[in-house]
Amino acid sequence: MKVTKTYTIDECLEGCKAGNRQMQEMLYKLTASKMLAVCMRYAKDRMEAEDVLQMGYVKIFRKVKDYRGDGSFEGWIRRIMVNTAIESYRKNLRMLNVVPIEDAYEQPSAGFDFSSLGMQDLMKVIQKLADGYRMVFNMYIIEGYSHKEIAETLGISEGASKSQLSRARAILQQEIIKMEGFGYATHAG
Amino acid sequence: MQHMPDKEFDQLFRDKFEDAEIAPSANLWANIEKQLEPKRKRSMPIYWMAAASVAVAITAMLVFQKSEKIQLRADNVTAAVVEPSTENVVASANDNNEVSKTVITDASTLAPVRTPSVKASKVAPENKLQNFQLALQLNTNEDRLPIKQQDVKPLDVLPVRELITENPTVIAYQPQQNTADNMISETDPITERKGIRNVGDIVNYVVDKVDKRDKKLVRFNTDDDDNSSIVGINIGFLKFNKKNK
Repeated sequence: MKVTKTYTIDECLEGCKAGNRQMQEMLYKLTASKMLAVCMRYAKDRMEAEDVLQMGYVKIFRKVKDYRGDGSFEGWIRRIMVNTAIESYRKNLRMLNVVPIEDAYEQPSAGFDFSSLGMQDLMKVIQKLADGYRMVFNMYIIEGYSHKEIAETLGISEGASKSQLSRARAILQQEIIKMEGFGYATHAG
Repeated sequence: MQHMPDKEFDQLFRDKFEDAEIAPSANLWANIEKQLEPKRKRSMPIYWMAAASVAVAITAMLVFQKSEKIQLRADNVTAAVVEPSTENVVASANDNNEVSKTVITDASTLAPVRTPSVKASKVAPENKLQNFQLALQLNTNEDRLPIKQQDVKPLDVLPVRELITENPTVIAYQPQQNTADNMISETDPITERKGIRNVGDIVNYVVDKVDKRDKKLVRFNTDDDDNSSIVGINIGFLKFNKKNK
């Protein structure tokens, strides 16, 4: 209501650098939903994700003066979000070594089609992964980190990063097949 | 339903999440705003702290200045103990008076010498004997044996009077000035050697390390057992130093 003009993300940059509260809010409104989706992938649940989101934005507004314009502004914001999520994970390494029962799953032989599954469904599956698997999966597959980078960031070996990734894939496929089966079953029923 | 290679699998996830959006809770921005707030006001407390510390320094100075009266008595006691000043008195007394020589030879220690100085400053010339006894009583407070010899002997010797009449100006002024100077110049190195015994010593030690000026930021007199009192303050525009007074 107060702000009649809508800005693009890049137009918010100068105002944010100047510490203008209205421009900060505008940037938040433009980017928050996307960033929450990022945080959700790294978090166990929505509450944890929103905590990370909040920390991330506070960090963004405090560090925005350091943004030199290499790469897109949105990409920079996203990077800070991912880093905040990883930091938060490292701070609560509580369940790192708890290996879930699903670990016993084997690579499914059958292929599947999950175009019918929505993003929300996949999000649920990802969030069910053990913390370590979820980290490696997100960092490698979605964010495009190398195994070497992941190993350095999380303080594990490259081999561990690789094996955790393939296990994460296997678990995800298994879970998706289960969901599809459930979906067909309900359709059929 | 066919087998899906890893690359394809990964790509599908990437596509699904690339533009994913999930609306955050309505109150989240308010929380972020709240967290950003304190940073704006952060510069204020520094000024407040500066103002507060100046206020504390000033009030401390005023408080300690008031209690100085008590401090002064304690200083006089230490002044009497200082030896160089009393030796001056001995010299002056010897030059001017034959009688005082006899007194000094009677009791070979320094203790009796102090009797003329005390007398000179306090005693009126009328009641010599009473005054003399008074002076002796003062000395006995210091637990020195030679004084008791004098208790008997000098009573017969009358001419102590001359000492009083001839020298009062010299003796009365000299010791006080001398002792005051000596006292302060001596106490300083002593306090530094003493080590740390109380809060005043700690403050002095820290200020010594930090402030290399001649007149320190804050200087405490830590001679007393419990009460350390401020001897000097130097905050640029505000200077206060007991030594100068």
